[in-house]
Amino acid sequence: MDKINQDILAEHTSLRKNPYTIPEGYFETVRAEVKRVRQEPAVTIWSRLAPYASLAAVFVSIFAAGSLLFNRNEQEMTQEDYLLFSEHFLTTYEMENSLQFAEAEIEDNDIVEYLIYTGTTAEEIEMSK
Amino acid sequence: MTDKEIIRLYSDGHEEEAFNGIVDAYTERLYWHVRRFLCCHEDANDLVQDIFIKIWAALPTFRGESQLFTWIYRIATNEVLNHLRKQKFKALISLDSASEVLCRKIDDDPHFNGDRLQRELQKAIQRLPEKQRVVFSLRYFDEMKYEDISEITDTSVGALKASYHHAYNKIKNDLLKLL
Repeated sequence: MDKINQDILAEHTSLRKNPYTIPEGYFETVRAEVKRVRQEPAVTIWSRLAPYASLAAVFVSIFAAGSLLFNRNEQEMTQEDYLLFSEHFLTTYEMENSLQFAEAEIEDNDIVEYLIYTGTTAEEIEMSK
Repeated sequence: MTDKEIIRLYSDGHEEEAFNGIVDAYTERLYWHVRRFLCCHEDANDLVQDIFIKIWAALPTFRGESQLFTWIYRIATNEVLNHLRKQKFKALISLDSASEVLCRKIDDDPHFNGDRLQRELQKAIQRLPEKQRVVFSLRYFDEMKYEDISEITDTSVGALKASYHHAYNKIKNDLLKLL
């Protein structure tokens, strides 16, 4: 038969057969496991997203403090400004610590969860390369 | 237990018995559905358990407007696609290709018992776009009706037929190169 017209998927009926195997007794084990796991408390979406929300809150507070401080930099520094300035530096210090913490703790899975959460697609990332 | 019996149990307030009925009736079918996409037994095992937990959580939203089996397959297929998207991102992070990762899993799978052609078929499926992979798998292996696949994927029958046709020809051509 002409190779181009050959319908290999229809002719080789073995292709429809399942080529994978499973460990012996697997289905009995997994059924029991599913029924057991169902009774455990579920992980909420919020508990998974809380670390990202905390990081976002740190950035927002830095930005707000920075805007307030630098919009007034032409005026004479009052005691109130000094307090605000100190607070800014404290917040910056906290942010640096947060980033160090994040660098140490963020894993590939966290990045993937974040990308999924923000609706980014793998194709968008590939296109931006 | 049939789908009708499961639905009757659930509507009579026997939620746990209904869920156990779903687990007994669908574990095997869902496992093979998932395994065809993920290739590896360990990944399929983890995801099947997650899918059942999702089904349990979503059971109160089942209104009987669709068939129970298409509703269950819809949840399972969405979970599979989410998992594949995650794998795609992980592959990107490690500068790899998701389909190549899956192809390597087929090669390394100690639970793969097929011949060379079956192995190449499974690899060709991994290279298909998402939607074509779903319709090809449900149609070619499960011989599912287009109307049911339409309910599962929320896609028109016409679009599914076109996707299947494209997938079928791509795979056919990939396999012919090996002969």
